[in-house]
Amino acid sequence: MRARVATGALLVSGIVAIGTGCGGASPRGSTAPPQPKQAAAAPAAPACARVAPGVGAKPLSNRHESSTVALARADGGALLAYVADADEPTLHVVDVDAGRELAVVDLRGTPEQVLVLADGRVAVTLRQANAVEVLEPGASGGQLTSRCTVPVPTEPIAMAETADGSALTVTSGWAHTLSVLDGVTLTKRREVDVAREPRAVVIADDGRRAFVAHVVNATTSVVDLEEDKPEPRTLSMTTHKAPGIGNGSVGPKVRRGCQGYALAKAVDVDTKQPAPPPAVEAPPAVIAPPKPTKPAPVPQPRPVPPPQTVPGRVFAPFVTVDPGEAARVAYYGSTDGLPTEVSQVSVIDAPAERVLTRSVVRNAGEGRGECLLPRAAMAAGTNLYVTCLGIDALVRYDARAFDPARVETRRWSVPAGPTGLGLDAATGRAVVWSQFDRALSVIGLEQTTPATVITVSRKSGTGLTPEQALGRVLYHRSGDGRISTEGMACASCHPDGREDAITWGTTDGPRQTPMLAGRLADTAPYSWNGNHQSLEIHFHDTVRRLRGTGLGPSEEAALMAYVRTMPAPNVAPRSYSIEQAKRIEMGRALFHSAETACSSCHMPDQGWGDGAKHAISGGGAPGASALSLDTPSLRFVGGTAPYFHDGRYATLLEMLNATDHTMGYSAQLTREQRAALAAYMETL
Amino acid sequence: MKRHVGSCVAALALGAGLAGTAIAAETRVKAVAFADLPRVALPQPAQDAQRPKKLEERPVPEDLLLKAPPTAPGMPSRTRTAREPVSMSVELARPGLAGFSFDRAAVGRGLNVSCGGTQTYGYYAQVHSLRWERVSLSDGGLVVDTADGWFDPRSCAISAERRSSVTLRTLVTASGVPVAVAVRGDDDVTLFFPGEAQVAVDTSAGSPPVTRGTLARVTLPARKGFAGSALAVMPSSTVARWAASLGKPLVEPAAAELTVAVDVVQTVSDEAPIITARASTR
Repeated sequence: MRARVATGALLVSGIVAIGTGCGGASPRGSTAPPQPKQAAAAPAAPACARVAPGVGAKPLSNRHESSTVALARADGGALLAYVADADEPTLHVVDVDAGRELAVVDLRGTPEQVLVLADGRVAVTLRQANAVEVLEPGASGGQLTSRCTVPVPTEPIAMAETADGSALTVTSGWAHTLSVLDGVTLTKRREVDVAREPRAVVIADDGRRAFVAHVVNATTSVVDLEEDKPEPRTLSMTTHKAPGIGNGSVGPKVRRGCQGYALAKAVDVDTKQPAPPPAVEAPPAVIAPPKPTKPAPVPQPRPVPPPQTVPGRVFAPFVTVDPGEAARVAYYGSTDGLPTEVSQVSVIDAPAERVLTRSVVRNAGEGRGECLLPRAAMAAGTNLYVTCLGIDALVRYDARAFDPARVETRRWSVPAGPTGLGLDAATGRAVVWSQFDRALSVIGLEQTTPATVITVSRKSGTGLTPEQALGRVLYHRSGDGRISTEGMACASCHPDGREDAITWGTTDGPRQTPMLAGRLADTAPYSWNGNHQSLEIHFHDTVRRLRGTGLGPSEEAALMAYVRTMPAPNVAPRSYSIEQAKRIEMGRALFHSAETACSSCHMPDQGWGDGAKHAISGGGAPGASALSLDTPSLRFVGGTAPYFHDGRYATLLEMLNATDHTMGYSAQLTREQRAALAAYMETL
Repeated sequence: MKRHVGSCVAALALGAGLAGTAIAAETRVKAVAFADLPRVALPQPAQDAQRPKKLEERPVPEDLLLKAPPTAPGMPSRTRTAREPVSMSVELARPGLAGFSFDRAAVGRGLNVSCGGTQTYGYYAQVHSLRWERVSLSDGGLVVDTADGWFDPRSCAISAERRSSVTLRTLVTASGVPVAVAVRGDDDVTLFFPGEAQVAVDTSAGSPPVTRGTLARVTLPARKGFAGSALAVMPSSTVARWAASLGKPLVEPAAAELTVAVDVVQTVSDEAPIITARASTR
């Protein structure tokens, strides 16, 4: 497993240049071995442009957002699917109509998502290589030639292009940035810091703003694409239970949010229906004293068809969460009468930048088989399509609703791991990529026939072992009573192996969710109270708190095998100013000094912990009694806000400012020194 | 201490007939154009500002008689005019209570309405607004007759100041019976569900009140930049009683639990509000 630990060495350099690699112009096919590598250092913007404009497959109209699968129309009219295979550094090219794989194209890193640009080029985010690779299609359907590889901040994930192709936006998950690149040269125009864990991005119809989803904290960021614009705005999607639902004794209570991976922009489709007749205003109903005889019927105007478009909407599928009371509770979960996790699609009024869906209005008893792990979304006309891990389904919702998640109109089962979605309005088909089963489903949206499933090839020696693959399926399985009686999955609280930024009510009091990926090696014992010597024991206790019945030995072993190999962020070298580098160096010196004694418990060679329990006072909270807690690992601590065992501090600096000398010694530090300490911890 | 507690039950005559559009079980969802709803200026309950200090005694309309249910099982119910003092303690009970709302508060099981006492403070100190609702079916849909007036607990006098009748557009039927109906105003939509339904509602502008009588009534905003949803949950017994009160036999057994919801959404880009209705059973 990766356990990348940054050290002071990175800081000494001060300014670290980030390079750009050129892919050259050699076509790459399935015969070349995969060669994942970091972006090389060379400016390459001109190389990104098309060499042979107009040649090869074209993008489908009205689709400008990336997914793990992207569709294009070949010159002959065939529908092509480009599949970003997250298990190996390749892009699969599939002829959807023929039902066969045309080519496997080697990439410079393992891909995350793919987008067909307006001029037909294919852009791929390389999550672990921290770059975007651009390829150009050739005359034959399967041919793709790498044009350039452009470095972007750590963990590029999703892309969206303006309708005119003038700009390409890229989200970087761990670096929490949105990069705005020139649509042709891919040179950087703007890099905007956004909230934690950005994922999907869509461009508003005006072409000037990007909406960005975030896995945690139930927010959507709005970023101006033009330079010199204000900082991004944050739209809160936190919700509350509508009055009258569930436990009536519980008043309005803010529900937290998670699983904000996907966004979809409303897109008109040609419904090929005649224009609706003009609306006829109904005359006011007669208000008159009732007569002894049967009342006269109101004159009925000609029926007016309901709207077939939903302009201006951005749909944000996510999950609302009630983590329970802060008091000590035996089990995780809700006390407000609704399930702990409820799927929701917030409707964002894009021109107004307002979230319209601010509450959960549903029958408290509904919800079995809900989409608790939404991963990709697309809208077409009055329909919204969402792929769901856990239940392995493509779900269609009515996009006209207040909360489309409440209005499911159809569901298709697909192979395990549906992470990506493409829609072809011209033929009424959806194409779903299922990463876990490595299969492409072609679904006739208006047909009753089963989906056609196309399996793609796999390079030997890549991807997960069979045991790890089973573990991945189990990790993402929702609705499994063996794990949680309420249907939650491991990935519900640990999306991408990380944490949900939520503080849960537990037997021991409020406890925030810890990050798993990259933090498990050398960090035993586990749990905040340090009572579990092994990961397996801790898993048993977690399942007990979820009221699950437990997995069998082989499945549990598979799950543990997967969890131990979940990839940590591959943090790219950052470019620091001299001043920033000095501040971080000051923080490093302080962290490892006897004055603060931070490193006496958070030891770099012991996973940034010490495997021991220490008494803390509770952070100075009035009346708080001393707690004895396991020293948490500080690996990747900068990306795991909030802080402290109960998540009371929003930032590291806030935590350091509130110190009471029971967790290191920082009260004697100046404000500048504490800021330097926090800056250093951000790099761990 | 209550010495005189009266029972006031509005006697309703229910019509017959059925109109409306069913949502097929396999689709469950239906969109309705805002312009397709009847535009109605719904009468408002009597306002506090118009509250009389004392209610003049006047003849009580025959259809607004108040009934006291039996004082004991097997005993006949007694019908009184409101002018007659009632000196017994009687809990108001369904179904005779249906259609009666008191000071715009929901009249549910067990509400006590007292009159004819000698107290002059609190509840007895002022006249209260009353609303009767009577529901019937016609070819055009569900018809609601409403009478708004006053009730004086000191004298048991009642008055009916204003009466109206509106026909509602059926959005959802269950077992052949309309269970969600609606009308619109200039910039809102008023939804009606059976009075016994458990109703939850919220909007982007806050949570509007649910007014209960024969029908549970809630108004959602229908203008640019606003969205709202109202949800009603009905066990089979509620649907059965609702059908019986309408004089309409169920065409099929009611589901164990019926959930009906109506959404009204209008973004700043929508030319008109979009209304969706849905029903699900379990």
